[in-house]
Amino acid sequence: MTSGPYNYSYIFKYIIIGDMGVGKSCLLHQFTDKKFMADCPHTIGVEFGTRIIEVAGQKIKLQIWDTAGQERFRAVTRSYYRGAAGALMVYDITRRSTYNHLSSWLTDTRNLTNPSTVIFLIGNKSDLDGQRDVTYEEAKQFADENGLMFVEASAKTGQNVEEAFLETAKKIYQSIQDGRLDLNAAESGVQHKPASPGRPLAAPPAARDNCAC
Amino acid sequence: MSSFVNHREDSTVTVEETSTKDNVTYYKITVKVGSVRWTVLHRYNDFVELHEKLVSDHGVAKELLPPKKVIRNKTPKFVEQRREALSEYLKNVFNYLKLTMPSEFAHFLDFHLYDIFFLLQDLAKTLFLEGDKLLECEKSHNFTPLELHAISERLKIACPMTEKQDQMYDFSHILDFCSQLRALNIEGSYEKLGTSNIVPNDLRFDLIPFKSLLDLKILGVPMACIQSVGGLRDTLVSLSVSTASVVSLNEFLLVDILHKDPSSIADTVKWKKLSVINFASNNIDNVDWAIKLVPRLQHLSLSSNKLKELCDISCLHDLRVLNLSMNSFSVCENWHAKIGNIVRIDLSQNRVESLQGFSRLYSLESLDLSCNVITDVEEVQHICKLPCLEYLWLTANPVASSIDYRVKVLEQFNARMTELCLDNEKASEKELDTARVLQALRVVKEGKTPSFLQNNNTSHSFNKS
Ligand SMILES: Nc1nc2c(ncn2[C@@H]2O[C@H](COP(=O)(O)OP(=O)(O)OP(=O)(O)O)[C@@H](O)[C@H]2O)c(=O)[nH]1
Ligand SMILES: [Mg+2]
Repeated sequence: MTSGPYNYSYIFKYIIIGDMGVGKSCLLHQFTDKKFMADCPHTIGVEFGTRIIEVAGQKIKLQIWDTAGQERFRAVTRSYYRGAAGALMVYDITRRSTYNHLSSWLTDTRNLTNPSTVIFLIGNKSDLDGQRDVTYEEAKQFADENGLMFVEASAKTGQNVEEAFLETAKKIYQSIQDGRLDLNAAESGVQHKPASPGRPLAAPPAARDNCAC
Repeated sequence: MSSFVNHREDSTVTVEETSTKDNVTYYKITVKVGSVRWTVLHRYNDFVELHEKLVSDHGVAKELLPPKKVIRNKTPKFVEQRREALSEYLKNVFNYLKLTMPSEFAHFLDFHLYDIFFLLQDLAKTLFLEGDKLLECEKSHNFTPLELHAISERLKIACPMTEKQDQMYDFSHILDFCSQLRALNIEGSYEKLGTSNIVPNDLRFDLIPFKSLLDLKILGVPMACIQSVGGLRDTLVSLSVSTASVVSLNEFLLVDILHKDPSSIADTVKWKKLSVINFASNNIDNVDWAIKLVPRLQHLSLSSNKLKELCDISCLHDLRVLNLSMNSFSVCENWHAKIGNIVRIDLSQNRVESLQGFSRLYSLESLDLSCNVITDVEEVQHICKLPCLEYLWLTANPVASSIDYRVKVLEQFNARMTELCLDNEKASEKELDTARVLQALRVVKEGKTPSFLQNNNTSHSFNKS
């Protein structure tokens, strides 16, 4: 059996949302490339990244849409909420305004996604504890009241970044197991990857030899 | 290409003409979406088939379609009446289904060939089902300018609300594929696409979705089409841009940089991994400073361009192979000052007369000068002391038709004459014998010791002259 990058059984669709400059693109980069981009430009419209993870022995591909925080792109970014299985909602712990806007981000998310979408709150830039403007307790309470999962993380040091993406996936996977999430619904954001007959896994040895890679 | 989701109100569908082939009547549908138009041919039976689906799945009224007629259905008068009726039918159905645009209807009207959104739906499905296999087994993948344009545009518009679709058609699958693709080919065209008024080479696109691209081949696409190279400066290893009427390398290397003047160019625009560049069959007449933006360049091919002179590219420390065949080089002066540690030069099919300029390219192993205008066999004196030279082509020069050409060339390489491969052939024993005789004569004439008597010591060739 191969276990290459093409062998996975589910696709989960994520979106990352939140005010501009809170570190959405940096979180995505830290998660997909394990690198911190110190001089990351503002996102124009949307960005995209993928990574394959493992949950309960199942390989899952995450297709992640990173949206622009700037208001002028709101029309474009809103259209990507649809069919997201996971939404990472990000604020910057050193800028209170980004936290204050969470309720409007949450309203958008609730309106535009479906009830089974897992929403995960991330307080980013936890490495800048000295400049903290929002306490952990306060945000934790907000998360609990709204039924969100929550961590403080740092795209710079990588702290809790992995956890946020993985915990979201676990929760989604759990919903599938429980039957709360209908795989066949068009907007579920989860897809089963069929092992199509032409896939390399099933290919006869002769065909594999012809592979150019 | 068309963008129906942005031009719903500016779109029409009519049946304006009919034609007959093999005794079958075809109705020519003209679709207009904004300024884009195309035509589709369908026979009456195709309409019937479509209509059945639209009635059962999309609530189209059953009596809308003009009725069947079995006899006398080929008279010009009848066909004309039916054309009008079908045109009216399409107009009504189109107005009714404009907002949802079900895929059967879109396909009937060929939207999947010409419209951004519908083309991408089909592409998404293909890549969802086949993408992983293609990534694993294909050497490189072809995208048309049309597809690339559609992807770029799609990223700028909000995703349209259509009827609920299988997730297989989701745009993510395309970006997913693009972000993993390693080798991409793009072939342009100035010919109108299908029955439409779309010219592929008029379409703009960017390469932002290609996050892991190592190898890019562009054929016949004008550089003005490319709006951004995205992250290619960090990943690309091999680049080929051919028959694209490129005049200068920076047309691609700085394609997305507004101010192409050297003083304002930052280090960030360097092509960090690019080591192979091929700009064959363009109109380049000068290797400009932009080449400095490719510090890791090893292999530069500018075959079939309009070069006359080489500028100083000694800053390219890794450059090993230089293909300048089919250009207009005539004098090649002091090339050792312009190129550093070069190993292979192809100057075939130029107008080179003299070999003087190559006399100090000490690392040179291979020099192709076939099809030039070298007349004097003594020109070889300039290169006969290059210590690494093993492959030399002089065929199809005037000199190559002179008597004893091969031995006269070989003779000049002294002790190394046995190592030299001239015009694809090593010297035969017979040639070597003759060459040694010629050399002995030269020695007598010039009063020097022939090198093959000097104990096969190779370092001498530097000191001798
Ligand atoms: N110290 C610190 N800086 C961070 C962290 N994450 C992001 N930054 C910085 O914050 C700035 C903005 O980060 P981005 O990732 O571009 O923010 P964004 O949310 O994608 O912004 P938009 O694309 O405009 O919506 C950048 O200069 C990053 O270097 C972090 O965890 N710690
Ligand atoms: Mg961003």
